[in-house]
Amino acid sequence: MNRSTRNQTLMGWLLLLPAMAIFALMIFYPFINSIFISFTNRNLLYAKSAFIGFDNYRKLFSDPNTLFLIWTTVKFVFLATLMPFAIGLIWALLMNQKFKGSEFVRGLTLVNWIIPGIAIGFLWSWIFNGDYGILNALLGKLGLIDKNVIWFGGKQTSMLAVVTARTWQMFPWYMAFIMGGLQGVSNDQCEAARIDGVNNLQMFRHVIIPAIKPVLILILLLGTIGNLQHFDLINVMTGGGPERATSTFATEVYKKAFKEYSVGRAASLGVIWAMMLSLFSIFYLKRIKED
Amino acid sequence: MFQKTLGFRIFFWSFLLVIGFFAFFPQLWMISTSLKPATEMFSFSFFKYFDFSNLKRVLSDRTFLTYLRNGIVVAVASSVCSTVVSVLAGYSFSKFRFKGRKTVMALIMVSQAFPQGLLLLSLYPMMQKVGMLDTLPSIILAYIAFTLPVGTWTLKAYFDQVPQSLMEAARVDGSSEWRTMFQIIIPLAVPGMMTIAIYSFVWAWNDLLYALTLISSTANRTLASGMVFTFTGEGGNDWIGMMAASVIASIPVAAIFVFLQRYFIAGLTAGAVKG
Amino acid sequence: MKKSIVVFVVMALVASSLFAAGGAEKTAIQQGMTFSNWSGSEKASVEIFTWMIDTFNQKVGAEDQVVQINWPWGETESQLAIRAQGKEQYDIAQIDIRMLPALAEAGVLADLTEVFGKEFFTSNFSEGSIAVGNFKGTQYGVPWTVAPMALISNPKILKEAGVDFPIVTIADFERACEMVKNNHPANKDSNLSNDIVAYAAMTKESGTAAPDLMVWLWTFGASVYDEQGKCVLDSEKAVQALTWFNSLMQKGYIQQAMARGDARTLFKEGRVAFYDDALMSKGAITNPAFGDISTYAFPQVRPVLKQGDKPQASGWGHLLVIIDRSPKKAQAKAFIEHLISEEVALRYFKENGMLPSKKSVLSNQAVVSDYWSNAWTPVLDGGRLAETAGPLYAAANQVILEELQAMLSGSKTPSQAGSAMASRIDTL
Repeated sequence: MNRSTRNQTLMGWLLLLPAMAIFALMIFYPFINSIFISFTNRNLLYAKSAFIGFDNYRKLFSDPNTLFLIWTTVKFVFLATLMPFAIGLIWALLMNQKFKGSEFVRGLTLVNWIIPGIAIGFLWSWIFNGDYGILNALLGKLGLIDKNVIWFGGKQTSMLAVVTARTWQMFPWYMAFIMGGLQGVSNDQCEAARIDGVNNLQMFRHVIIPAIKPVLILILLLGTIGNLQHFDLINVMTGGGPERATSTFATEVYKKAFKEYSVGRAASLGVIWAMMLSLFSIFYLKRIKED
Repeated sequence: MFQKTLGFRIFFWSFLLVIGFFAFFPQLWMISTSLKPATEMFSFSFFKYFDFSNLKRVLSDRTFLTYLRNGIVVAVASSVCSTVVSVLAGYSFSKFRFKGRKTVMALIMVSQAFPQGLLLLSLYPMMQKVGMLDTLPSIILAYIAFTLPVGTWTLKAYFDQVPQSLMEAARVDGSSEWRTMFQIIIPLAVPGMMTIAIYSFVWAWNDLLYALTLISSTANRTLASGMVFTFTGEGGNDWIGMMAASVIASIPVAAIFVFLQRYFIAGLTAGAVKG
Repeated sequence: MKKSIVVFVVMALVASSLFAAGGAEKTAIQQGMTFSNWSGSEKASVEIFTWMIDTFNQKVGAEDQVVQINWPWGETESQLAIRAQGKEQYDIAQIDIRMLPALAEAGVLADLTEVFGKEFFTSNFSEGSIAVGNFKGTQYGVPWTVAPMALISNPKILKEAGVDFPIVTIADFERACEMVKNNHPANKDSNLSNDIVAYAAMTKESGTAAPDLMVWLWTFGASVYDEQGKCVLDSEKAVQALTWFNSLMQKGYIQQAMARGDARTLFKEGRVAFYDDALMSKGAITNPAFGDISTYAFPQVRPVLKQGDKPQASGWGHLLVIIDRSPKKAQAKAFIEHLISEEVALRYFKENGMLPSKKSVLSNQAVVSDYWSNAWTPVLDGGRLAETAGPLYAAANQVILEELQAMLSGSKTPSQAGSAMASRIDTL
């Protein structure tokens, strides 16, 4: 190795040290430790635990609820990513028209994102409440319903409530990214397309979308990962119910570990989840691969 | 960008109203509720009352202010540290070629997907052993770790855009690696730094799970878990109090946002598009 | 492959070095004692708790000062267990009676007959109160407030619906619900926002739905477990109870997704005819606009299956415990005695309605003449601890909740739900 390469290597690693230290300590070590725990019957209440081999995994695979859990997670992640994405996209296009006050409106929209998640959870639990929520009051006054709808009682409607709250919280974030991307759409391209005689819809499909495609793919990926981890709103609004209709991997791992005290079982659930995600991540990595 | 045809106008106005209502009515509802006297909690009146006593009550609650202060301290610290670490790591990934680089990059990216609740299970006893339980640094470390992936990626994208020629020119001028880095390259990535700073701030600000589990004393509690404590409990939930507290908690951050949003979005521009 | 190995080795080195650096354990150099609780941080009781602790600290020396640690009620059991495994200071704790079995099993709690002596318990507390602090023969808890849950009715609403008979049997109960649902003016008008819920039964959270449902099971003569510890929710009597409960849903007397907080809120607004709660709910349901509480809230025993049956009730209460590894048990004893002493207990009662536990204080004029505690006296005799209390508490309750919800939504019949409950709980 010549001097310059050695310098490169040294410098490179040096700069990386803080990140690697934090990563090793806070993520790598706990993850490896979790794998070990998944092979034990570790319980939060007791200090001692015993090695039980693949027992936890066996129990998980033979439990019919596990498959349903995967399905519900996929359903939630899909809806909770798609909805705010769509609304964020439309809103970004609207804000991009740069009308008077659009910057202020834009900023005000971002406020949704920074309101503490627990407050959002309670706010939307309140709105959707069957007996004293404003949604039912409105629907009742408009004559659309003749009996209070118990939104959190139904499986589909609970999912609707949770996805709505998450959409409200996250669409500003999608909007911001897309707006960033829209700034980069060159005017020349638009001019050229106009001269060619395209209409608005064609402009959207053939000029704008291709120009911001990298951004769109990026935020869909980041959004998906964020929703896979998401826990707060579901926990506050439905606790994963009713009948597990809104239970995702994240809420279930928490419940198993901190409420039911089955740390070993929770760990095995988490490991399965991580394995499934590595498949997904390989796809993500291919996306950012370069030289 | 778009021609203002009739079709477009309909699209524009109808979505502006619908999405606007969706986005802003709940915000207004929250504010309106915080201004209601406790007896009117469940009335559907909208900005009929302007009772500031709820807000005053929250503001004069020393404990709540402690939570707010801790929340801001943690969020700012996480934000600053995460930015610094991400800048260094992003620069390393972008400008240096060394063995193992791709693997570390991949690991950091993939780590976003590890279930955070699961990691907490091992982090708790770990923190307990080193005596870091119930300290602010414990959760700050966690927040840095969770925002690293997005941070390093964003900054790497920024640094990638700095043409090699600029670096060569700096080297020819005789500056050392460090000087090159600090004086020339990094200033170019300021928008990206702003983005990750804001992103980590919001992450730390909003987190509930780690703050609830790793912090147990009132003096160290942060905002999200503090709100769980104060307004929910064995005796029931205090809706109005929570709405008032949410308004108070959101105002400073909202103000910052409305003013800094230009930078946030600008930061998302260049880096995001090039990907 | 080689570079991956290099990377992993470097990271392992980094991680372990950080570990070693921070390896020194924090020794408990704190003087004094810690009192962990949740009420001390809840708005309704912050001040009284501070007062209780301050008055004790004034009486004792520097080495016995008490300091509070708070966590939310819902996190108490897990936090107590987790911290017991660590090395932090840990002496006295406030716990809910349903947390006792799990904590006792985990070996966290100290045997209080050694600290207080048996005499202390038998002379100060009623049998029922002593029993809730006892697990498998060992006394772990000192009763702080013990009062079974009651069915709270709204006399005003019942009157407006034309209910003019006492609720003694289940048949009475159903008739009253039916009259509220169909005859009450608020339910007959077109305004949905003032509709009255006949019986706000718990159907959303496992911690409330399961224990409340157990009382109905007991009323029908069923139980969750038999003497051998096998789950018998698929027994004939249990299915009978479930079928009856389901009928309430079908007739529209109960709702899905009802949480205790919701029920209290609605009750306070005058929109619930019946719901179950503990005596500490007084603060949550008091509405000055309605006048005196006796006009709109009447705690009573649950209805029985047949005339002459003993009404069933769910045990509820707070206990004071001492952590086993605390080195300050004698001082902890003094603090506990301070908390249940007449002066402190009466003030707690005055501020928060929490019934004192010592027999001598319970007979105090201030307690006896209070409407709310008076109304609770008939209920005081009952009170059976939720059967699922123990290490599997949350898991078992969760199973019961899920199958209950499946039944109420129509996905399962009562007997299918019962069988599912039994098989799932047995294999937990």
